[in-house]
Amino acid sequence: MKITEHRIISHSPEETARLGAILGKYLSNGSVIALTGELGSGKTCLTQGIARGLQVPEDLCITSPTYTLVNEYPGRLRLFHVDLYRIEDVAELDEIGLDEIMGSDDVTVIEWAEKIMEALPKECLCISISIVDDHTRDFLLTGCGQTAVDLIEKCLHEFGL
Amino acid sequence: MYLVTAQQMKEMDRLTIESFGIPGIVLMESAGRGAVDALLRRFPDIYHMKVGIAAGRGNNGGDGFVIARYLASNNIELAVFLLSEKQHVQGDAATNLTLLEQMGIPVHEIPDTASFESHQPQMRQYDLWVDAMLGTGLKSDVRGRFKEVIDFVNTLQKPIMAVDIPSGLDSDTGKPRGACIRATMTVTFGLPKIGQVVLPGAELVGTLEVVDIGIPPAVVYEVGPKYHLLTQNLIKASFKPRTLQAHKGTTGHLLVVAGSPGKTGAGIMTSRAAMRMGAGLVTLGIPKSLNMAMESQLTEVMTEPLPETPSQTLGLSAYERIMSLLEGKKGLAIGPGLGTAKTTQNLVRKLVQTSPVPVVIDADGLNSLIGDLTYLKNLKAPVIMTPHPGEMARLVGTTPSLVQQERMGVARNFATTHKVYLVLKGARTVVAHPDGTVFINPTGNPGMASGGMGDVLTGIIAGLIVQGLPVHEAVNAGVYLHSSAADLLARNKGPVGFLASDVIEILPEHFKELVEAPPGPPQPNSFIKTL
Repeated sequence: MKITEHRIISHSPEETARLGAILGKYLSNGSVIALTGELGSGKTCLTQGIARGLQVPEDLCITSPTYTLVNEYPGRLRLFHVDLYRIEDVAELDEIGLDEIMGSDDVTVIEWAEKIMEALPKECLCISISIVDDHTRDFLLTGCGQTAVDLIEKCLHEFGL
Repeated sequence: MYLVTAQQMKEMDRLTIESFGIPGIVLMESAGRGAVDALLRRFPDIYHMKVGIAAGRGNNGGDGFVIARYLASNNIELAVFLLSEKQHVQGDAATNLTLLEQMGIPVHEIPDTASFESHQPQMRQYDLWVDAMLGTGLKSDVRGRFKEVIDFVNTLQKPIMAVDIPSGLDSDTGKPRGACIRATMTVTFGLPKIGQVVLPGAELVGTLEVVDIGIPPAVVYEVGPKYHLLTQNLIKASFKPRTLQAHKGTTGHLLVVAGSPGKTGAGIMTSRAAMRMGAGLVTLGIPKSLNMAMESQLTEVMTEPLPETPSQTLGLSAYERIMSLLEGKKGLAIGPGLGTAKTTQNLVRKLVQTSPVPVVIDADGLNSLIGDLTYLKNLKAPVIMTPHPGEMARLVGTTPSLVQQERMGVARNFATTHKVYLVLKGARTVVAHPDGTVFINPTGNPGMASGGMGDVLTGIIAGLIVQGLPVHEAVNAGVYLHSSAADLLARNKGPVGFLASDVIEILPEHFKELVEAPPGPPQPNSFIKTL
């Protein structure tokens, strides 16, 4: 299977949101995006951008579903925003039907995906975020499968890299 | 009886395993065995039934695997439907899954929606279902194949035993999340969960059985649950037989301040309820021009004409007289039928703040406090407030539907903030104490939604207080007895159409029955309690 890795540096939350919006614009049916990175690294900010790129209505507020685990938004493609911060045991994922969500035609964005690496589908986009300094974030994009590889190519191009 | 949250129960399990030293697999074994005992008792003809067990891959499923073993040992035909792949089952549940396979019990894997669809015809052949899919740790709405299977099992119209909690029920709030099993019976482990006794959870749970799995009292104490279920035994413990020396002087004197033109009945109800509850003396203070009419309706209750305003209501002019009447009284009940005149409100506010004896406030008494709760500061004596959801909403400045969504939280928050006893009426009345302890009342029925019921509750609580019962016990006992008396009426007279005055009339005999009731014969299995 095709795998690529690319690094993108963002210098502000606005730039992070722009990266998200570009991703959202090119996402296709059934995409799964796994986000990893510590608290405050910008996972939710990136997801907000992705939602904009997916044309989720502007009046819908995108917040991290820390307590509900899953939020669902309508858009060009339906977006499932999953937050696994409170998950202590993989069996707890059954109730939210994560397998079904990831296997659907909708887009799934998963925060704290490090907790379920072995349960991710073979084809997905993993984004690992590191904090460089107060404003700067290092995004490591790993595309697994042709669709994700193509997606990264398009993003890099539009982002100006 | 203690009620716990999911988190508290989890902590008790953990301490029992790690500090006390009972291995987790032993707890799982005890849970499963207890559930089977309860199941065999409830369904004596289960030996002729085919039992389907729907199991998740976590500990709840593990309990289901233990149940499968013991049912198989009893030669009951069964199959397990595992909503996962066998390889994904871990820990104690995996150990028990291996045992199932050694016994040759069929385990069907349903790891996705497609396999669920292919198993549906087979699943329709079972006569009774055991729900061991999702336990008490639910953290979000149920989606995916679990939701589909839950909805499917509900549509089969077969009896369902839920293991620990119906899958999809939030064990803290009693609300279904996304989808929820509608159980015939639920066998829960250790202690009942809050969400199993409040609505709508209590209806989705069916009959609730509690299995003692060996969690030691010291562990329960260490975790320290703040929520309790009112039970007959708890209420009984408040009442010791009256001594022979009791006379009307020691059994307490209550002052009821109530009434306004056109609203005289409420005060009469409250006064009579207090007397039927055993108060030695009751004085009803009313606007003086209403005294004649009231006096002719009351024989045992004394009336006291109070200074009134030109509109025949009570105002601040009655304050001094009421304060002097309170000398020698053990309690004050204020509010029923008082009306909402501005000066009446000022009177109530001043009385609540300065009363030297416990005050029970209801109805227009509560309305008097709306908009300015500073009068609840620096109280001289315990205050008991008994709002219905509408009054509660006005007190805290919200809507009745929001109050109903967060009944326990709203009541507890008010009680702890203002240091009062807060009785939030409605199905499953919540009694919140100033120290943050919360009691849920399981008695009562829809037939109680009729005029005067609240006036009677006020009288019952006040009547118990003046007899010397500690306030915290009087509030609990009053709430329980009021509704259990109504339950007795609903059984004997019919579910609707009994009156608040009927409740008053049966109080003495109902109280006698309750206090004299034997503790009950030992149950066949002493480690299972039916609630």
